[in-house]
Amino acid sequence: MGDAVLELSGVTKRYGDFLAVDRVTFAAPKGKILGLLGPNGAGKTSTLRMILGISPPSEGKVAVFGRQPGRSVQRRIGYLPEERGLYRRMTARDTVVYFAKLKGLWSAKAHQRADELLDELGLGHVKDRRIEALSKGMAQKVQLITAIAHEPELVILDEPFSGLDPINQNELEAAIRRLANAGTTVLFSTHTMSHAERLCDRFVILVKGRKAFDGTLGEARAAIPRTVKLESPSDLGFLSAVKGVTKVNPPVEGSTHWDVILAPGADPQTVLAACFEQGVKLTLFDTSPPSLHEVFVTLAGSDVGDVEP
Amino acid sequence: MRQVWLIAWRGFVQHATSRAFLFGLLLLPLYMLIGGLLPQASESQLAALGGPVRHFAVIDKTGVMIPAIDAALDRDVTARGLYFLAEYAKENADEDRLKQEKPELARLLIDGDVDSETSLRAIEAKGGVIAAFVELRPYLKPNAPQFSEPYRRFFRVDPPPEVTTAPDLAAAAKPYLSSETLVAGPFGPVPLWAVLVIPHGFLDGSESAEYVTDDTDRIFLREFLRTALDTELKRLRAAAQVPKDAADEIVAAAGTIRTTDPDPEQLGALSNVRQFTVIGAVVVYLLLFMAVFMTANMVVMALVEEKSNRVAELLLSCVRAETLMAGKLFTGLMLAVLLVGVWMASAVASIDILFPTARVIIETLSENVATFEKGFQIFVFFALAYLTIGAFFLAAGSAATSITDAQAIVAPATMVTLPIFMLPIAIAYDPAGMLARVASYLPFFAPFTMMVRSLSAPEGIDILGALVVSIVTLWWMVRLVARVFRANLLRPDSSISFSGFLRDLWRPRQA
Repeated sequence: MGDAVLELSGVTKRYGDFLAVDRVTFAAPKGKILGLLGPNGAGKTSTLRMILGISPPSEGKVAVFGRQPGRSVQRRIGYLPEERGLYRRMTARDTVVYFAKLKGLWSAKAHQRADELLDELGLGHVKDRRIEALSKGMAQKVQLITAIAHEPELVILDEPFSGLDPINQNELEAAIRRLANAGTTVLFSTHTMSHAERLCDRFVILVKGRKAFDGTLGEARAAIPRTVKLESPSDLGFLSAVKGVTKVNPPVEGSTHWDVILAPGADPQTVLAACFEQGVKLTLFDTSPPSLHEVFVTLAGSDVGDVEP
Repeated sequence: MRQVWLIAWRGFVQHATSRAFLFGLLLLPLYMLIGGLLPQASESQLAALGGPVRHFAVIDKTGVMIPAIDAALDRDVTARGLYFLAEYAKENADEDRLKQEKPELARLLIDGDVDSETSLRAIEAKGGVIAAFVELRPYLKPNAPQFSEPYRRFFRVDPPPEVTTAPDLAAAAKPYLSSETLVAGPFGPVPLWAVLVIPHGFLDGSESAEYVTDDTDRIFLREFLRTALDTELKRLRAAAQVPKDAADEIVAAAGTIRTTDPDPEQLGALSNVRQFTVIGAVVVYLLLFMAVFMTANMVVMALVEEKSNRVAELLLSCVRAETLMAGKLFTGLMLAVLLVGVWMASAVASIDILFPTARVIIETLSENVATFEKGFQIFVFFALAYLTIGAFFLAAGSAATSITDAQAIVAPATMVTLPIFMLPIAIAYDPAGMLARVASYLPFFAPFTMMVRSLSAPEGIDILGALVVSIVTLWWMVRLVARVFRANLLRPDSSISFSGFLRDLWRPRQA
């Protein structure tokens, strides 16, 4: 990938005997939003830490802006860790200024950026309040601001939506979009598929430390067999004999929902035609493409863990 | 370097403005105040009894000065008695009735200047302090406490015969002055405080009197004797018993009594200068020691908190682990310097205000650290000591995941480092001895040892050697600890034991 801001090649991370990341390879193109998906324990945070240079890979190579992670690129990266922690006795403004200065901004510029961003994210009225006096949502916004105040070219967000209410989640989504529109590359990890589906240009799915998928949403959908969703009180088992149908999943007890799995290239209309021929009454016929969650469930199999739709 | 400073300054401001730190900062001065006032209270009781009694001997080769000294001693008793009786009367007498019915006694005790010669003569004319008290008694308020006449503070005793005839008087007097041998006092054997030798030539001004003591800094007795001799010489001049043209010279000679300490190097029982020097060094060292421990613990606890709430991870995304560690170390150093500064200032103020007689401690220490070079030398060794121990503690803190874990690791770590802190206390008693010199070259011990030795006058080669050893130790320690620090900082969920921490020092786990 020629314009990649970030490239991982065969990266492995071991903690003693435990294999956290297993030969992962992917790249993040410039100015795009890349989602790193997977259940807890999939190796997302370990991967992010290797990208940040906090923790070295056991094997393989990580390149950020074409260089090894570390001091030379640290100032070009913004980071929002998964578990939020700020100095409770510091004010929101001082917190942003402090981390911006650590990232290389001079005092005047750091103060200016802190004021701008706190106002932009609706925290202007609480900027002189201590962190301990802010709500959880406000504190998380402050933490996001600390990650972007120094105008990084690559922003890494580890589970950014975790613990936020729907309103704050929407605001955060908007902020991430603004960053990408401004040309910033965004890499964020999540186990909530709906955010990723709405935001990401590309996805990397990790399962038990291994890469299960790397591509766009369209590619993801194409990578799994197409499913037609049907609802009927009748027995639709006869559909397994229809040409192009590879499998028919019967409803669970108390339900009338059937999943019909099609072979690649098969036309869903053949299923509908077969139902008409048999005189079966359908209350639902859904051929919409699979959601990211469905893609994930298919790719991850039994290792879905705590992934949310 | 800017990042180190940013981290250090933020930590310093956070801690220095916290209630816990301010509590620790101000509590010690408070203890000093309380600790100072309690002995003061008991001292005031002692003072009411006339203070501690000093026994001295006089070898008077002029044959005329002993009666004068004895008379001065009696007048001293009367003068002190008058002072205490006047204080007692002001507090316990019915002043109006006393002034009305005994105006002369009221003028003496209530309105008079008890230090004046007139008042002294007046009370002598009344038959002494007890006689004056008997006259005062009918005018006391109901339930007035008992009046206790002050004790005589100075007693003249006969000099031991072998001292009187010895060619080297100072050497002969030494066992008596150091309390190894007692002399016969008015109520039994007593230690000898000083020997005053008045030579033949004292009267004509050709020789000085000699005041031999093992405690050159307790000047009360010497000044008392100086005044007594001075007064007697003036009286003799007035009576024309000495040549008039030599009188001025004689008075001057009396004002410059030569003082001799028979063995200034020996730590005698009464040698307060030596004791003060050692006490001063130990006190200063203990303040430095407390500052090191207190601030190192504070920084460690803050690190554990940052680790558990994941601020550490955020910091590591901004700076390298080594930078973070350096920032933390300098936070602790700045806090320690602040603590020591406030504590030292409090100690100096406490001594100056509450224990004027112990000002020699400040004077001795001031003489030792007054120059910029000396002050800088002490600061450098203090900083090296702090950074070395602080790095060790930070590594221990980085291995902990909670305050409880940190305490479980830091407590044994403290015990491991205890000999490093304790040895210099022993060295304070002999800062130029073999033990002190050897410890100056031992890794870890060197900076702590030199903190104490710097308060005296260590040899230049020892300073240089200790500096090299301390810097090399610190460099090695920081390198060793940085690996552990980096490896442990991102392990918020895995706690290790103290033995695990020690293993980590030699073979850190992978971050």
